[in-house]
Amino acid sequence: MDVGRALIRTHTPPPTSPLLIPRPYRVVDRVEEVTGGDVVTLHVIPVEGALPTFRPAQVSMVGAFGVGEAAISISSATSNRDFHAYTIRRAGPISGALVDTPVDGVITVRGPFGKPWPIASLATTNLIIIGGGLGMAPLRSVVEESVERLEAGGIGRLAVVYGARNPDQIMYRGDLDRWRRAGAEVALTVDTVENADTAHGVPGNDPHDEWSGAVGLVTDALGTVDLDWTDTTAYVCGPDVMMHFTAQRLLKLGVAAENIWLTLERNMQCGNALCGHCQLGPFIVCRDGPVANYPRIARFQTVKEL
Amino acid sequence: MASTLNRDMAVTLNLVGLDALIKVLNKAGFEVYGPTVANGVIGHDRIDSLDDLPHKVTDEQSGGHYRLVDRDDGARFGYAVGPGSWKDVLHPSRVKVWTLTREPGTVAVSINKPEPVPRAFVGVRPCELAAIRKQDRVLAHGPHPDPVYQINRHDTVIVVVNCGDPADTCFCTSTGTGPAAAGGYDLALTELVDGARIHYVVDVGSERGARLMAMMPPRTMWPTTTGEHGRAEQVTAKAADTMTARLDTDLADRRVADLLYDNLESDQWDDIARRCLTCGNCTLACPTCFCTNMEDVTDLSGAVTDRWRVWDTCFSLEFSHMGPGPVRAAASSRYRQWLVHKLGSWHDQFRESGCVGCGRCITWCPVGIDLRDEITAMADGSGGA
Repeated sequence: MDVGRALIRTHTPPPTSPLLIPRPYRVVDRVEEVTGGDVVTLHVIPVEGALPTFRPAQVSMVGAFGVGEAAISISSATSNRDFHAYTIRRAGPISGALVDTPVDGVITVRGPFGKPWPIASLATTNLIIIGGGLGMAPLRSVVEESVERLEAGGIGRLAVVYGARNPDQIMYRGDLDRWRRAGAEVALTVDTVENADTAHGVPGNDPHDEWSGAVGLVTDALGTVDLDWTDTTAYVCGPDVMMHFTAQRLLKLGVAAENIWLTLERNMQCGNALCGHCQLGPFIVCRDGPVANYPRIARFQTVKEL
Repeated sequence: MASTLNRDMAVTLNLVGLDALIKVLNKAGFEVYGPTVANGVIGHDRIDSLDDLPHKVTDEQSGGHYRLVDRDDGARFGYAVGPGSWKDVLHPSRVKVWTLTREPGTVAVSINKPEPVPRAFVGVRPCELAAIRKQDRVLAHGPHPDPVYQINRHDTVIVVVNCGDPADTCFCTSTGTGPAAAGGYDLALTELVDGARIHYVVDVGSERGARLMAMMPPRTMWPTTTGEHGRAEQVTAKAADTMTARLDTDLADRRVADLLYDNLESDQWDDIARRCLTCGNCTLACPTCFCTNMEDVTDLSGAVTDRWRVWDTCFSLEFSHMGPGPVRAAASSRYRQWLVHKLGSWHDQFRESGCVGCGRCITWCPVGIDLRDEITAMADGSGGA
């Protein structure tokens, strides 16, 4: 019944999106960020072909062979065309396998995914970037780009506030001083000096000095920053509770709600808005986040277990 | 609300004609699927002829209850939807995504894609057609479409059968998805039952549907009469009345999302959680639930690893797992995620409701949680009291 064959459409499947295909990357360097080696920054390059471009806050699905993939933001400067950096904390089997990947080891990467910090359309003169704990990792890239903009006169004043649990947990020590030298105001604070394996000094100074910096929450450290808050945009990344109280404090200081940007985090499996895992209320984090404008997220941010 | 599309092309089939339609599709090279009785339910499977369709049988459904019962007349489609849905074929529960192989200094990547198979679905209910179109939007129309779904979905011929016998769990009039399909099919049949005498009024919905009808053998169909048109409209109008008598609010409205958002911290979630077993049956039976999990399986040599994609459920603790543990630890949080997504945040994510009113989540909930009652209670403030 040849006439019947005419009912069937010939079909060439469309090409698969490159973001659904893992790409092998080689680890070219490995930096232990904190004492004990549980937080490591991997510098990676594609085994073949060029590094893809990305925007600050974008995320990749980084894979350990045979174990699985985890969503990790790219922590290098967008202007760095030599390698991408991923800062990873050992939390489970996947992150553990990635942390343990040696130099010359191979991992896989899909991405980048997600909406970036909207620094290309900064609506204010000043910018403050506030990180809590490992939340500094998704911010490092935008700090680097902001420092470049500050040096080029594109930003009035730039402040970076970084809160770590204790002095041992401070990452990116070399960068902090470099940012300060480039003209950024860098405020460091630690929740506590206790439970530190060793008493480190102010980063960039002699690590054997006693901690002489601020002790307190990030919200306290904001009080030491001198900015025209009404003309300031804030980018915040850290634990949910830290972002909530930081946003409250910023509003009190006079920052407009629409100039506050936070990050969202949920279990991510596919990165392509197909698997349903990374939902947070109306947001599909891999598609609509990780960056979110405060007025849109505020009503959902404080709902327990959403 | 029977469609008037291509009314001038409407024809009526007898049972010999329905048998011929199934055979024409098979001969044309399609894998033909239709309703069949198996394992105590009406599901769907490959069919070759009229003889494979359910006959002398209907279903009885309510919260947590499904039974097949005898039926006296000659209807072949005199029942509502069973636990399975077309997502079983289009978005399979277990799919190999890729194979990675260790090689010196690199990893070889092989992406797995299914063979394109032309398929014809006979007996798709209007709510199920709506469900397919919702999954199309999620899985095929996003920025990075799922290649497996795209290939499976590409060449599907859809023969709808409009509904004349809704179950007590059906509420498609509240979601605007039935009981008559309003387009998006190749053919839409309405079954006219007159004792053992069965006719089908066929509405042609596409060019391909018209070509299909042109291949039918002679003396199996005739131009639909005015009387037959009227009877077909009565079939679905009566079905609609049955459902609106049970629930007359619009559950697919955007305002349901606002109602749910305003009640995210309501005590009603704890009340539901005292009944909910977090078994995930509702998510397996739901024809629009699309969530999947990734599993990596490595061979004994450690050199080859396969990535499998399997259906997942937002009722599991692992679903929301992050470093410190599950985000949604409480049963109330997990039920809330499911219902708020289905009727609420789906609007924000995909510009429509995620519910098609098929009622599977009610029938297949072991404790009979009924989302119609929960939304009604939330709207009048009596939930959680």
